[in-house]
Amino acid sequence: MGAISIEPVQHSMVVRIKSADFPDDSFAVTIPESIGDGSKSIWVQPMVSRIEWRTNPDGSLQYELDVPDEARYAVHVTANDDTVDIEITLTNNSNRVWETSHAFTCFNGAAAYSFADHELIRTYGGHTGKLIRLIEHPRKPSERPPIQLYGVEGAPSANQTPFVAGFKATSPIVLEGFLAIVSKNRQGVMAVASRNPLYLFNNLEYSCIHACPNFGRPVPGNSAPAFTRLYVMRGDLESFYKRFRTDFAA
Amino acid sequence: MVDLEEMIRIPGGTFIMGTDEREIDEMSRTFRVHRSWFLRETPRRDVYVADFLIDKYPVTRGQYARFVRETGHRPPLASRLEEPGDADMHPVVGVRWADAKAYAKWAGKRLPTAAEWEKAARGTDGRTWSWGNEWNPNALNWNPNEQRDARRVGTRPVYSYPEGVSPYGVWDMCGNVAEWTADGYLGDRVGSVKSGGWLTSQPYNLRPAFGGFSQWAENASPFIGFRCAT
Repeated sequence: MGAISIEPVQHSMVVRIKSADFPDDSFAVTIPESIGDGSKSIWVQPMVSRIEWRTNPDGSLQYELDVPDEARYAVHVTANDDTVDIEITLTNNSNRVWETSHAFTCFNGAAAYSFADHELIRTYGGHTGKLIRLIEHPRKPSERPPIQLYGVEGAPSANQTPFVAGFKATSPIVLEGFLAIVSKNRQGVMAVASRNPLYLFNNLEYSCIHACPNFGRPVPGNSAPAFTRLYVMRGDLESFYKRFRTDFAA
Repeated sequence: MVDLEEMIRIPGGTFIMGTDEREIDEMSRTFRVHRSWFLRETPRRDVYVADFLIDKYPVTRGQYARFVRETGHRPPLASRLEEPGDADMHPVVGVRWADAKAYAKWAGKRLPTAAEWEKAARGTDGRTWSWGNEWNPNALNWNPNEQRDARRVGTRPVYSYPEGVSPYGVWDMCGNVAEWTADGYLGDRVGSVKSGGWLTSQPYNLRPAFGGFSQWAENASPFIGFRCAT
């Protein structure tokens, strides 16, 4: 039995996460807030009454949602010792090719009081092989100041995705495929990383971090998988970074 | 004797709004913050504001409770105080932008514009904080070293920080609560919030020119309150 437990919130996209290592903190992940075609993304909130989480014998969670004539997706969530794995399979059920496709999955630390960072002072990314504190790097000011999006090294330019460009808040810096928040006592890290992410997102209002996976360019009828890992781990930022590099080695 | 209903007259005229490049460079160096964090405050400019009145103190829990009792309006989000004594004299928090506007209307007032709010806080000389240009950690209720968190609300009674009073005699314009103002963005889905509050740990986020906590209008926050103007 690992340190992490997960509990779904029925009729929502939310899974609550608790860690025995950080008993005073409550984490939440919303899987996903939006998904599908990057130029016509589906907002899931209006359909939450249809979400029925199931708990599998191994403790993992899953649900599926069908949006007629547009998309179908299946979510599978597994708790490990100090990580939570999220697998999403997305099917293009529209009659058009999606030039970009994504899942906007939100890892929220607002009630993780040891971690919550509403001023961006303990939030980090990776840039050309180094850890950087985001507040020391360029930010695109917008009419919604708490949010910021970041492109990912090796991925298509973030603003090529209309979903991303619409926020008008994409930083000029491009990061590795994760975002991390260090706890106030510097002894823990919450982080999110995806395999092949399309872009990253941070909202200081909720102290949330996203590493939004890219499902590629699915043609009608095709499916593609994506993988996201959440970390709620003891240790310092460097130890997280080593883990990330091992877990997401090419 | 504290008169919570007292309003301060702010004379019409121009004042210096925003932040200039020199100040940004200095803050960027001092606090290791990229200068883009401050770009929404630029350019520093002369702004004319007509004569107006502004509440001397933020709206308190006690005042807001009376509004809720008399109108049946939604109460603020439940929140436990760090120091519950004299709770009615603490600024109200946990209110959405629309709640703040509804209170102001009920009181026969309105929310100040962001420009009015900033003028009431800084006066006309372009000072950095309401009391002057030198940081004074004792002049406001803030969150040094992030010692507090949102489990308990860390507001203080609105008369607690006389050293922080603005040139016009307006209290709590830096710290205690960040404040909703009348300005809106993104089709009024985002409400303008000025300065920072008891949960704010960085001095640069507690300046009256700061608007980085402007947030989704539908959301209430444990460190955002408001005051009214006429």
